[in-house]
Amino acid sequence: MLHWLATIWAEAGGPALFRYVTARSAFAFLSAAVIGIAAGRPIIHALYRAGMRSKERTYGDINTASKAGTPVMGGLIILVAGVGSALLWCDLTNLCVQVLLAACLWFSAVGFYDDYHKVRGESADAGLSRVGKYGSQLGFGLLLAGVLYHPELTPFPAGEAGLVYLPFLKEAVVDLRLLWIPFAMLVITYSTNAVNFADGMDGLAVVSSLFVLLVFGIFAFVMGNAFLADYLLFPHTAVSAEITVFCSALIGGSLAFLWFNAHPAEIFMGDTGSLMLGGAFGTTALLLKQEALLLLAGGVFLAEFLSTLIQEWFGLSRGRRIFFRAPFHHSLQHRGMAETKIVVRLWIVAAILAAISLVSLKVR
Amino acid sequence: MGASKPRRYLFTGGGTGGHVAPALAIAEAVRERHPEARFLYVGVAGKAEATMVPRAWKEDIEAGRASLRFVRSRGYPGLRDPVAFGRFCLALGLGTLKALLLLLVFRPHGIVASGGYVAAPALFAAVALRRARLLKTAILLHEQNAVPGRLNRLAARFADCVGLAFPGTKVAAARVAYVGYPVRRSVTRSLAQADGSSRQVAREALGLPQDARVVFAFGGSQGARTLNRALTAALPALLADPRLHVVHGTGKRLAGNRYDGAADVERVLSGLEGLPEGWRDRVRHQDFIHDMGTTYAASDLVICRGGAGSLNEVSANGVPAIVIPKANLPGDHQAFNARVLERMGGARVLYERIDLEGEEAVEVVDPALLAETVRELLDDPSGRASMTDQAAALVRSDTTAKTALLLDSLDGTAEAPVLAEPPALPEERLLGLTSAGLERVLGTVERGEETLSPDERAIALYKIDGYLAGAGYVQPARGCRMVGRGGFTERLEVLLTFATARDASGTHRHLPIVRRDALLGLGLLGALDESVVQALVAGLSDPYFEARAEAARAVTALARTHDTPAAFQELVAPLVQASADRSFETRLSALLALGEIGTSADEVLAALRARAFDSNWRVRQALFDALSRLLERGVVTADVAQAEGDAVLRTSDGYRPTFMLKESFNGLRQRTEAHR
Repeated sequence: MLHWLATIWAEAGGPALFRYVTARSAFAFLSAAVIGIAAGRPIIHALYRAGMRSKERTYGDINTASKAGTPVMGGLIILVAGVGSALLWCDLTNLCVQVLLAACLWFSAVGFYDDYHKVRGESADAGLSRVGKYGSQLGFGLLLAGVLYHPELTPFPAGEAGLVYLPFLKEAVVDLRLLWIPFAMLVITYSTNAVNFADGMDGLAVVSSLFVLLVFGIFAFVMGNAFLADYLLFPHTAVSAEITVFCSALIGGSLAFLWFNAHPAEIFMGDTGSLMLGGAFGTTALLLKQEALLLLAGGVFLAEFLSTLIQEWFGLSRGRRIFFRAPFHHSLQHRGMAETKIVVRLWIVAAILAAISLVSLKVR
Repeated sequence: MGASKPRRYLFTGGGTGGHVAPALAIAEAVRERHPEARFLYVGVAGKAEATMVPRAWKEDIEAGRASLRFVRSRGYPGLRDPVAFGRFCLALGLGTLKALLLLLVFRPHGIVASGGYVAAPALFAAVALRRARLLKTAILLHEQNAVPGRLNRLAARFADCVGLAFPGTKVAAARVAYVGYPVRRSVTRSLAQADGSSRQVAREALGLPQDARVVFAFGGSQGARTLNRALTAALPALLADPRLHVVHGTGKRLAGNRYDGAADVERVLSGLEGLPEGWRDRVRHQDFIHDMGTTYAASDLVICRGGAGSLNEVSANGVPAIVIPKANLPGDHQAFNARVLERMGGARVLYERIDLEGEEAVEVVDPALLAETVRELLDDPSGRASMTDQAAALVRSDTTAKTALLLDSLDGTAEAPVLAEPPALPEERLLGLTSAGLERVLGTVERGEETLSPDERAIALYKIDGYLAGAGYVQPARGCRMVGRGGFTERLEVLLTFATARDASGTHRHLPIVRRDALLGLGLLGALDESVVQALVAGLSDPYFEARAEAARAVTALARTHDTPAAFQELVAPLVQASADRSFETRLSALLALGEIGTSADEVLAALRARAFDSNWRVRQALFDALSRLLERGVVTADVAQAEGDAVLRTSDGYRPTFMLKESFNGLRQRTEAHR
């Protein structure tokens, strides 16, 4: 919105500062952080009063009694601060921004519904059914892929919508053509679930997300900048620069959430937050054609996802466990590692993976 | 509704005879009210209704007043198997489409649904047409069981009225009426003949001696394996009574069913010894019994399953019954039905129990117990007479007429009938619980907070046996834990088998988590003999990591309740080996167990010392606990324990944070509760 005002102002002879991606990214980050930290406390109190408190759960010998009563739906902080300042600073006529906004709103709504029913239902398992959860993810994926693949709507150069790139490789490895649509649906389903599984410890999901957002923000900036894209041999798509602004806003919102979520947490992001962040990652990865980067930069999420999947499909379905517990962070907890230690170690892993991802900018 | 045009009624429901019979009984009463009415039965081809309906409606069908049409439908297979679920959806979709057409052509005034998945297409179609205002019809649902099935629970919301057969059935519906169980006239012994003349006639018709003691056993239209086998195996004991005659309905093999009752009975008979001479004259096997009414009338005692249909027919005919409810059914509905009859005094319930028949766990009823119960009841005529009276109280002769009236009252063509108040029955504490719910109750028993009455113990064991014989790992594993929690030492054998049984190639016969929980159950159960020790030794080298840990934990649990160190000596060497296991849980549990059972300081301390720098702090924590126990038990001296403890690495990546605020809050809550 401010971008629109700034454009009008600049045309009338005002400063051009607010039209630059870099400046708007910085402002988006700052405003999101400030809004989030300011709005966090009232949101926490409102959620607590409304009874949106997490329940005590027991996973094997891990009991969450000490965490019971903490408000959930902290994703609202990220939504209000991050998406709010994205609305302020992004070019809202940009397709990438519109798509990202749709993803954030849709998945925070789905997550909100799930959280609400978990809290209000008779048990902590009374949330969205499996069919509802996967349906909402695959359905959004289908819609998104449809828009991105549509010859008139697509932000990609003509005939390139079905291409898939891998990190460290210059050329596209394969052209999926129409199969790109189911591929995109899988990407969205993966990313939402992976972040969802990782959300189980104070500060774990949100900081891992920060690194992913940072990597994607930088990639978007490079691809959106004609000079850098040319130098680093990326396909240049001017529209993708706006993604940088969006990612900056989400980083600001996530940091503000971390302010309250840092151990010991005063609020959890809940599915409202994890599905929204996951949906934003998946959408960004598809927009930038960097789906594999999602696995690399978000390696922590990949580990959480795979451990859960392996435990379910190759373990429990055959009457045994493969890991002590799943997702992965619960396995570490089961071994006796303190929560803070696990979280910091996984942050370190996330940082290393983010660095490797950035190396792939140049090494290709 | 002029007299010129006959009224039209649609009946649906089936799959088993227990759902078809009540629909036919209601049809009888509707026919009485409207002799010219048109009937349509919607069923599934190849199921019980395909044979029962043409037989019952023979005349009407020939006169063009009734017809039977088939639609597709399938039982709900659950979400686990996507293929089965897809076929279910397809069948139901196609069935509903056909039912839509049938309904639009037939345009019934009233619909009677008696449950089962067979009723689903017609019900869904009727509800859809009513919503779309394409059809005006009254829907009456009849629930025959004490616990409604899945479909009936769903359908109840759309029905105008739900008729209940059992008092106290819980169902959410616009209107609920306790009407009783509709029984066809052909199976009801008329009260005028209750003086014994009907028995005489019936026995003559069946060719049974007038002074015989007749036991009539049947397992429903499809037969029941447990009942067939138990009765057949009990024959030598039963036939020792020279006056005793048996009429046995073995069940008919239907399309899509694997069980063949007649063949199974022959198989058991071929392996049987001690049958008296000429026994074939006193035992008659029939795959299907068409003249149920006559057979009831000729009988002194009935042995049957706990299906609502069987029980109500038995009550209506005033014959005392031994009921063998099928285990592991949704909501335990057969056991519920049987308990209602038992509590009202009309029946004895014999519960199935698990038996390890070579490879598989199957449900059985002890033939000796069955024979004993039969004899007891036959030798006590006055007891039987009182049972008959009690059973009759459950069934009212006007049920069918009132149900027909109720149906017509739904669209205002008749006055609503006055219905009797249901008798109040005490709540069942265990029946109807899910496996998790039962485990919770048994947890309170384990902690000594609650006790079970002998009746409840029998029910709990019956349910547990159902779980133990279940498929997959969740239920058998839960069953193992419950055996331990409830202290059911009579199932020790099952736990031992589950924990250790291997097939010819040496691989374990039971799933890893089942083995784990069988070992857990052994620890909880507290029984200790040589076979338990052997199972624990085997468990400590189980290929599954959780099973090894659980075996070590079971040693600790048993050692705490049995002060007999000598009994555990065989376990020391395997535990020492387990204390260096790959899995930290096993190492940890093995160390704790060594602390409980170790008697030789050298042996145990060497194992402990090897773990002093274990990578996992919880293992090192276990070292301290084990040393404390060894000190308490006098195996090591204080100096040694101190020195050994000092040598252990004491850095750790785990600690337990606390929320002081929440602790204060909990303190306040405790105080407020104490003040109340």
